Amino acid sequence: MEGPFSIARMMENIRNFSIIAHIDHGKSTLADRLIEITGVVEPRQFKDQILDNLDIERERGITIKSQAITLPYRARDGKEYLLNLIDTPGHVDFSYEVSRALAACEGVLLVIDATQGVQAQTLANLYLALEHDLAIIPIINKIDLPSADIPRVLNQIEVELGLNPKDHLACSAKEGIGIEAILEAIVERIPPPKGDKNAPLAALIFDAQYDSFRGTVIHCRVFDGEVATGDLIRLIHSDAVYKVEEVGRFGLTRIRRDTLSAGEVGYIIAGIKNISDVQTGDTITHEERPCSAPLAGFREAKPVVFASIYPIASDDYEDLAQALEKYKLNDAAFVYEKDSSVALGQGFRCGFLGLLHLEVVQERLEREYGLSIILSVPSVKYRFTLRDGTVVMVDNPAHYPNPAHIVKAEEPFIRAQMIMPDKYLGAVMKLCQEKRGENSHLHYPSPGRVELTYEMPLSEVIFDFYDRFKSGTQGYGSFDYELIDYRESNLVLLDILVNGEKVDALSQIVHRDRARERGLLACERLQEEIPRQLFKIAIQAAIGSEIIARTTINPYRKDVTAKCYGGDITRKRKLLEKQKKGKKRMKMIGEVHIPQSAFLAVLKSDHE
Amino acid sequence: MSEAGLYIHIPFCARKCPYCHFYSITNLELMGPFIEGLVREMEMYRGAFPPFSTIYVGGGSPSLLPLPFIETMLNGVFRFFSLTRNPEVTVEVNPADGDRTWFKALAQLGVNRLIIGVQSFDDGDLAFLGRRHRAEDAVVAVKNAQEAGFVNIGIDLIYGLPQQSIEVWEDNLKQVINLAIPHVSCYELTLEEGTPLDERAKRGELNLPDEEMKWQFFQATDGFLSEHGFIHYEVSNFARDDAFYSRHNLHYWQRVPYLGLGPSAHSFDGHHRWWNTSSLTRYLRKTEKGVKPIEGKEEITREDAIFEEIFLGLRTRDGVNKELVRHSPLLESLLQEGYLIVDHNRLRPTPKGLALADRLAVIICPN
Repeated sequence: MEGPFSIARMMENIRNFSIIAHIDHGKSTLADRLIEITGVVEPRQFKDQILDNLDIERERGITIKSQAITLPYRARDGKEYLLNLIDTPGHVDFSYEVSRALAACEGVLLVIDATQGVQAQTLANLYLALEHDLAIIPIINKIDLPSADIPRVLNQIEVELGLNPKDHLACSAKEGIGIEAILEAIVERIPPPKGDKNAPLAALIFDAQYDSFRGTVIHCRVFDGEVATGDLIRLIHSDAVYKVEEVGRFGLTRIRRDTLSAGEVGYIIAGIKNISDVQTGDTITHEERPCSAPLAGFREAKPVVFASIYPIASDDYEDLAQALEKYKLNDAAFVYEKDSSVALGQGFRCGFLGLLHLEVVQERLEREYGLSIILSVPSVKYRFTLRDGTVVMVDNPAHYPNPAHIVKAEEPFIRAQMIMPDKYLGAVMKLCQEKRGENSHLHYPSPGRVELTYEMPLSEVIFDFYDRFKSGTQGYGSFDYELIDYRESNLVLLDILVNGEKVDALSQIVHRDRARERGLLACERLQEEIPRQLFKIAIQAAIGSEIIARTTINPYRKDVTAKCYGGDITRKRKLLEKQKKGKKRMKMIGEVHIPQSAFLAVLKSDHE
Repeated sequence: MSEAGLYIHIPFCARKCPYCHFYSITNLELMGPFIEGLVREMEMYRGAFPPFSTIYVGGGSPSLLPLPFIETMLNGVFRFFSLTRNPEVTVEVNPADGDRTWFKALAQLGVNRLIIGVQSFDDGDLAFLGRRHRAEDAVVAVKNAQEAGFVNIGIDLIYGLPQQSIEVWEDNLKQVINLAIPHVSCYELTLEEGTPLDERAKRGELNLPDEEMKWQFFQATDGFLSEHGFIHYEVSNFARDDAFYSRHNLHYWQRVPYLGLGPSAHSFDGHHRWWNTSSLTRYLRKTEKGVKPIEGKEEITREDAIFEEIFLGLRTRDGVNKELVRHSPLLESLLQEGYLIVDHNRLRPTPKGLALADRLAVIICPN
């Protein structure tokens, strides 16, 4: 059954590695070529970006979930190797997923686009790899493109990354050029895993998936010992014990084996129905002969953006609760708790790594679980000091303290790191100023390129920063950020009223200087997003009882088909069914139908 | 009182109008074979429907049919189907074709209602619409029909043409009064996907009225015709009194069964809807073999039926049974805003409601 995998399972024949890169530099394409060339899949069965098996990843052309696969490879030294590839996402919101993948590896391929050069996440990912003390192989990709500039990238590798440019490999993953040399380099330059097969079991959970037939499928890296079918295992952090039903490796599908030993990457199925028992980052050991201490190396994901999720139909609340529980297993960075809204009913308050993460969660809940949901306006976590001296953290505008009790309000700040061709500097600085940026620093790592850092309120970054940064640099700028501290700020609670009714899910905490502008923008966005109805709709923005902005939506006047064509009622009914479906995807606030899109739109671009 | 309607689609036109998307062809040589196929199709439905209380010959341009063909067709109907007492028998007429002898012959064959495709009494409009008649022909056709003894006469008009003003449109309505026509259908010009007019609109060549303007047309039409004693009994239809309502079209709106014969015609038996192929060639091939020329069919679920009852009912002054709709604050507001009124346990749309009948249906439908 094991086919190409039935080779010696000595640790010196195993390599565990990841591919890291800035977004769109081609790591998924490189993964595809490695899979193809090692014969895991026939070329004719090949779908591009085979590891990106979420619909949304394929559509957006990005990798969100990390994936693992074992590649059998006969090297030039004549020996057979098992190369465990763990794919990683590239977007700034998902650096946590990258770190989990890296903890299971001994080395990385650092992919750099020959036309784009080193970008912000090239650096951020390199730092993560250095933190884990991994072997680094710089790969220059897309060398087939006419605009490829290899000498420039080599210079950047030396000057900006501090790596030896002589260590680089060049390839075109798209055209399949230079792939063989990469496989050889993995074997030669990435060290084999260390570990003791005879020591007590210690395996690190780096991912998990839920299979409706088998329960939770744990993805793990075994550091010491060996795990086999029938073993009693303990998940140390969860303090739960299970009997192993199946272990195996990752091909394109799961490939069953008798054991997984030190150095190997694979999966464990243990009939785990209680999905909250499996936490990524946890250590697996044997119940009878446990390891002395859990493994280290995982960074905890801290959500920085918060929003509430509500079902459009309140009957779907239970379905949403179940979907979130299952979803959470697959996305360790996602956190949630119960919440309720006056306007939208029962729901959940959720924490996300960033706005893209939030959009991805929304889309996956809708596609994979068939739910229609509404998201409240996203918020960061604010800190308020009250008169009586208590300090409260507020990530939900619904919990905004009584303004009369607030003595100090603070908001989280980030340090943004941006790299771009220097001609865009002016536009980006202007944007950062507008976003209340301070303490800027400029650095020219190589001629024509500029590295700009700014300290900015996180709330300004989640509000429409990334899109505008991208367009301001025509896509040539790259961006990364880290949280630094909390700083004092003048905050107010901005409410939105639809036909006089407050929609609490649209409330935002904003800087006072921004309130009027943001209020008007929210009203205008809602005016665009809420379809006309049979009544006039008034949309207002208010601070307390003071109305600071308003718009109105005029009702329909005439909208009816002139005739029912020669008795073709079918066509007419189908047309109206579509409208009816649209209605079901909207939320009734009073008598007004508000579409899902309206809730997110409030935060989106004020600059088309 | 089981009854049904019969529709016959005549798929021939002398030329295609740029706004029209009904199925028709201009090869008139196929008229003979078509009539033969039609009679064969009638035979296949023998006994399948309750007696017909209305017969409607539409198209296409039925008035292109030579009299012997019309006679063969109607004889087929009488031979294979039973009719109720005093059926309404309507034929659509192109004003270019309406001469007095033809009208007289129709009356003798049992036709008792004419729908004349006037569209406009303005030559500029008629040119824009690509019609083959002139305003003068329309007036003559109406008069000829009246002189031939027809009382139940309706005309079709179209409003909302590029740059048309309300005043110019009202001149058309004045003609309805001047000519003492008891039924008029006023259709808003509708862009149908794939028609030459739609192409022109997509290229931005047409200055069509916006929604507010369309509402102005609708309101003006309702106002003018009401003042002159007409009843606005359906979104686009007006009659001097209920004796002149289109009994055939009421079948569609009231979900009475109907059989549609000829290419692209639609049928309804109370539980299913089906439609014929939109290709005369295929139609002829199938009928020749004694096979019904059906292209598609659907079953109407209970839920579908309720929705149909609501959206079709709301097109008419008669409205819908109030029991079909859940009482809600929303419904209360619709009543308050004057879209609907409650009358004899029915929800009836006002003219303001008729202008938004589809939206109302979607909003108040319980499922």
